[in-house]
Amino acid sequence: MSNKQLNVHTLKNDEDADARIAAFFSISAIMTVVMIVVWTLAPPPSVGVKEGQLAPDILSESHQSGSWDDFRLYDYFNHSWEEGEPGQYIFLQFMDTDCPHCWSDASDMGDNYNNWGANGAVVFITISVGMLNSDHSRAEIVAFQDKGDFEGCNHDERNCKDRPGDTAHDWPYVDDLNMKAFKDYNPPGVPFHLLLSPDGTVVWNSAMHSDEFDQLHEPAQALQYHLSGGA
Amino acid sequence: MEYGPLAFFLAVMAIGGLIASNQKISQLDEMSPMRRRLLGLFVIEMGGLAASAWTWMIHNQLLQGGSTLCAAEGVVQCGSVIGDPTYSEFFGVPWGVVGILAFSALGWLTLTIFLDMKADWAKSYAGYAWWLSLPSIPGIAGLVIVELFLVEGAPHICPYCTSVHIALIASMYLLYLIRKDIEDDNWAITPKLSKAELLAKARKK
Repeated sequence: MSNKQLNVHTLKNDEDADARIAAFFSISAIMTVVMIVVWTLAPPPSVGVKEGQLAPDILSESHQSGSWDDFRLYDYFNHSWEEGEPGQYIFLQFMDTDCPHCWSDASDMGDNYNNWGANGAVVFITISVGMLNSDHSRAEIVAFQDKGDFEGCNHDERNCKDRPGDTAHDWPYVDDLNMKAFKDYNPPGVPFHLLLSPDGTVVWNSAMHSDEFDQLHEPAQALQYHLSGGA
Repeated sequence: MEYGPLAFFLAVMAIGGLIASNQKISQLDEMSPMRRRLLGLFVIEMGGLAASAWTWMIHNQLLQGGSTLCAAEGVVQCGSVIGDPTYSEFFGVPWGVVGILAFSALGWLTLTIFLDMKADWAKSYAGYAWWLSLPSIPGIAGLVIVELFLVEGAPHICPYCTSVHIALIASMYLLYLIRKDIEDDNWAITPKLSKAELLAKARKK
């Protein structure tokens, strides 16, 4: 029986075939070849915040030394860095100027910076988010960073000049009041810390060491471990 | 490695254009003009798919540092365009992946029509392909504006991106001609052969 008689839409040599299925398999075969080539020559990097993944990029403006400048996290990465070579690690802190735990974390951040950041071994970067339901502003971020006179830190109840820690924080504070980076990193809460190797790979994620008996529970322990050759 | 693949992709598209044209090609004598147009369109779409995949690979490399697949300096380069942190993705999806998906969808529609032109859905699928190709107009316009004015150090021309744009424009043009032919009822016209050609054909059999 011919196709014409049957009035079915079939391929020339197969009464049961449909061109749409045949085309689907053909395109699938082509796509498979394309994917094999891509994965062989230049596979997409695993981007995320788990240890071993490439940290997502952050684009915004950061405040340091009295001015706001363009900020891109990937500008800090040395992609040609390899394990064992000298290079600057990157310590990221996600915080909210109105969060009580971030308020007390400011002192530890200052201590860690004095131990690891001031000598250039580690680049410290704070991402200031607008997570909590309270007033946020760039003025508040600057006041928190510099211990400036500004009523509104710590749930809008404290003056920022009273935040723990002896001195102003001499590292970039990134404006993430629009929560863009926060959504990309999706931390379980704040403060949240990450230590990145010089090529941008996450080597320590505080959320993955939340057990207080974990040997790398504290940021200082992680810094010590990764920068003193413990890794 | 920088421009060799570009030449290949453009050559594939040029071959597609030649197939779709009225140029006499003895191997394609038996095909109707519409069938040739569909085959040429499919070849161009596959060239566009390959070029899109290449831009995705460049994007992947740039995320992890420099790229060995395209130049990173000068006016004609990919680094500043495909590596741009703001404009190199469409809602978080690299443009190369968007291109792969678009060309594979167009390719599927074109191939289904090519394989079974007599099917009652064939003409409507040509219409779907046409409508599917239309978003490429604002897409291309936007990306050219990005290249010329918005990326860091603009203007820059990304040659691989341009080859994808060429494939899209050529596909749109062919789909426009196909739709026009459908409207003019030129869907299934078979080529008229001369007596000599008919005789040669009969002898072959």
